[in-house]
Amino acid sequence: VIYVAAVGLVERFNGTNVITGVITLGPIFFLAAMLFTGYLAARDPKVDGQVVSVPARDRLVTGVVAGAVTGVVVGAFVLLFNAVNIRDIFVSLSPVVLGDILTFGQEPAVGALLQVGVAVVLALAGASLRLLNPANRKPFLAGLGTMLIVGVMERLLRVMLDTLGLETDWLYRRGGLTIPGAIAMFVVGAVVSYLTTHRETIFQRLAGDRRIGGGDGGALPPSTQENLAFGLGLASLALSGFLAVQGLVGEQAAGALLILALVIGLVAIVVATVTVRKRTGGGARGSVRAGRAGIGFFAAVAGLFVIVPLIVGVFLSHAMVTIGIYVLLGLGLNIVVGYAGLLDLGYVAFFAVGAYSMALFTALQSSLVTEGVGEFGSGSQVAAEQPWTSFWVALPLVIVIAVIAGVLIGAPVLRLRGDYLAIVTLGFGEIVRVIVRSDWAAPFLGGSQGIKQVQPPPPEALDFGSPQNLYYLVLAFILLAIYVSWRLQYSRVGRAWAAMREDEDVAEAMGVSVIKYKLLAFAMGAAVGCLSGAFFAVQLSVITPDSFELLVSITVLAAIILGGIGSIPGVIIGAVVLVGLPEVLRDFAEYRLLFYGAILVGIMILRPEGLIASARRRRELHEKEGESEQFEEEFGMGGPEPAVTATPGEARQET
Amino acid sequence: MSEATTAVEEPTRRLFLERVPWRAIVLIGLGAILLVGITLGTAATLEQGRLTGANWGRLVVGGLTRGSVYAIIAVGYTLVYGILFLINFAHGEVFMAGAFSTLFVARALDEAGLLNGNPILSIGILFASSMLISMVVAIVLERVAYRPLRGSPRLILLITAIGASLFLQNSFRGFYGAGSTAYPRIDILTGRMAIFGVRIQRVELIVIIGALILMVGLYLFIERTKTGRAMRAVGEDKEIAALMGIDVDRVIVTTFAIGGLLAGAAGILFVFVFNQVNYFMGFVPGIKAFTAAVLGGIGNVLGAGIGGILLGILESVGPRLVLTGAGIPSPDQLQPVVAFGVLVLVLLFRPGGILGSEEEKRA
Repeated sequence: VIYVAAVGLVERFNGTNVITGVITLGPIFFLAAMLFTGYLAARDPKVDGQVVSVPARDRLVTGVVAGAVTGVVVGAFVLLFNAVNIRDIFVSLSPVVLGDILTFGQEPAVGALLQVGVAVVLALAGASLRLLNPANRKPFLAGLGTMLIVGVMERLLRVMLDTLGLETDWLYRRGGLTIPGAIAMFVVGAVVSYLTTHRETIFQRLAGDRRIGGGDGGALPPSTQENLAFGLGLASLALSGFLAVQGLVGEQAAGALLILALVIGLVAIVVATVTVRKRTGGGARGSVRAGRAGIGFFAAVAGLFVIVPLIVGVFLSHAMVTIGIYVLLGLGLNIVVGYAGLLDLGYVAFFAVGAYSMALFTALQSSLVTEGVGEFGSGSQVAAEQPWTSFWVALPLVIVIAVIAGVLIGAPVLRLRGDYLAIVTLGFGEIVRVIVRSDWAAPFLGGSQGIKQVQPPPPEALDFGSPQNLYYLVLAFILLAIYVSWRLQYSRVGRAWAAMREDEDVAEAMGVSVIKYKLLAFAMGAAVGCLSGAFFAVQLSVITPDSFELLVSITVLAAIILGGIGSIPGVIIGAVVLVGLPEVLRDFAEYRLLFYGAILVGIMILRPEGLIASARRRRELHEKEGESEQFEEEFGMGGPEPAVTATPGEARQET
Repeated sequence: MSEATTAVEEPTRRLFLERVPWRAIVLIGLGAILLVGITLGTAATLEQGRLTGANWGRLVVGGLTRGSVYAIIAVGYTLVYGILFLINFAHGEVFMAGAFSTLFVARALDEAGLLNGNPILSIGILFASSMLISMVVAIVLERVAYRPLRGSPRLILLITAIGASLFLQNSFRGFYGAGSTAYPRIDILTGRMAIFGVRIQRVELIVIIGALILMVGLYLFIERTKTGRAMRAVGEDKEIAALMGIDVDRVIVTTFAIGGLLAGAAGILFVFVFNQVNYFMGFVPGIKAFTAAVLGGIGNVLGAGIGGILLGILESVGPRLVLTGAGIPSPDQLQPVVAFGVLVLVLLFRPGGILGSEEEKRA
């Protein structure tokens, strides 16, 4: 808690109203932390690996104790702060944080005592939460969560609802939820959660009433569900497509139709998920063979993606394009890291190559066209009448350049493995940025000025300069990239990559040409990354070296790791979460790197396969865990590296 | 008959093609091109004669100073790598933590008038504070981020390290703010002197000597003490070391602690030279120190020292020497390229580093 306060998040939280006039995010954070303390303290203690059940009274007591301890610590901190001024050192510990939030606006001493009291009460509440039946606990927490999310996402949701022509004043006031709005959201969240938890029973009841499921206790017969999902999904896709076309040609789409498409899409997603779950036994086999319900699912999701820009307005469409660009980057990096197992920390290099080559080809101020016109790179605003070529001509050229760049960067590092590869690629990323920025390359690449006036793709009638329309273009290429990587994954190439990733030596012994496939992975990854860079150039129409920092590589890496290395839906989710959230919650954008770091460490420790794991990854990782556990048992010590036979006095050579 | 001949010839020809050492040819060719390029560039620069001998001397000393700092940070990488086979990406942040936090100690000392009143004592305090903080950060890092992952695949560890690095960096940014801050001036460190006709700032001399002392101390520690021996044993084989009664976890923590101590000391030396701290200061020296560690042969303490100093000099002299002649404007902008270029070349031609033997292809 103190850590977060010191980092300055609290003040930031405080600026975000959740329920206007009642509470802001700052105190909520503290309250939640204490609630959680109680909740944690009251969990079933583990003795010798066996869960021991504890009587309710004891749990409450532990909760109270934990709460008291937290409260005392925080209270002491408040007192300390008031005694010694440490503001000089910790710039974020402003009087606002300490004066108002931590002490509830009271005198320090009173505040500290109050802090202890509140902590105890909340921890007690947390502990009693533990006592609730899980079926009831879940809706309760979900309700709270919904309230929180809807409150925080105010800006996004409000724009969307306004576009739909809905009244929003009852829900939001001055950047936060109103009290009735908050209660409504709580109820909605709770009900939805209740429904999903008790999905099976409800379906059963439905089936029982209609006597369709018969005596075997099933829900709707899978085939019916499947057809339903399929139909609904297609319907929503068709409707969305129709609306999108309307939107493209400039007509105002009707709000009611939009809502209809949204609802159909959502229902299709729910039904399809249920069916897919059932079919594949809890999703264990992934969604690859989910059949028609799966197609319906994807159609519905695609439909949602299609209509989103119509709802969210220009600013958020811009954000959507950015997300799309990162999804593309993620898909590209996923080929290199996820499939081939080559950790590339300099992926931004390809992004830069793509953006710069696209800009050179299509910008009015590119050195390719301004040479005759005037001195370039000296800050003069010379622009040619015509770009060197158009987007569509440039695109294949960019991809060719990308492949060459991929091979060039890939070739010297072929022999390196694992962590060395990571560092060297990191180095390449930095080299590209430094060169692009330097005076040396300035006559050609524009130095720190960058290249301006990149032209949007023709034809002008479709107006790809506007973010909404560019979004569709990006979406199309994302679909293409998804298709390509999905096919690659299960092809001969994909299998060769998997073999190489799991054990390079064995793969080579089995006749996989490691060099060839590594280069191929680099080239493929580079092509997708450059594509993404090309869109980036088009989106911003100005590119400068500052856009190509290490941060980009790290963001993309964090995204694919969060979602699950090697899993395509994971990449998309990861990009949406990591790139989308900071765009939406601009207030917190400053802290995004902090979160990325925490996410990387947290995911690696808690769930190394990512949120939506590819089945193969999960097997790989857990197999290894199993091994080391076994090892631990055998030798009675902390996990050694698996499968190592090193002779003393010699360096180990394993990857 | 003819069919049979082709059938026999085919594999032979393929074998012959495979026997041609393509890799060696490409490498030698690349090396030759580089060598010619460097020679030409150097010759051209020297012919232009824009810089005098004294100038070159200054550049070398500057590089030596910089290199000494790299060397000490590099030791942290090397120690950890030698034992865990982990590139501790967050080591640069450990270095930053000490230097950045000690800023406030230095300010307090300055306000108390001690900094210039009793410089030796206060410099000692600065070192102690920075080393302590860096050590604590390093130990916490090991505990929280790396220990739960002991035995995981190396890529996972590396990603964790990257995450930890980001996390630390931005935590300190949150703690102390995003701006660059200057340390208070320490008078005793200013001034110049001339040695062998080259004018040297006093700071540079102090830094070089300080680094030398630290390196020698560390070398003795690892070679002569029991703990040092335990560290080497764990580095060679964890299982067998454990069977010999060595507490592996404790040795690993000790390693991180020593790395942290040295990083903290390096932080103060760095501050002496550059006089500025910010939350991002750990990143670039971190990467370069890693390069230095690889250059010298990773896992090898002596190598880290040599690699650091060599890299410092290359970086300081290289761009001027080679690139000016090639007619490239403002060559100093390309300094990072030199560092990474060196890293790539070392890994290509001699993956074991300068002190590693050719057989040890650790890469």
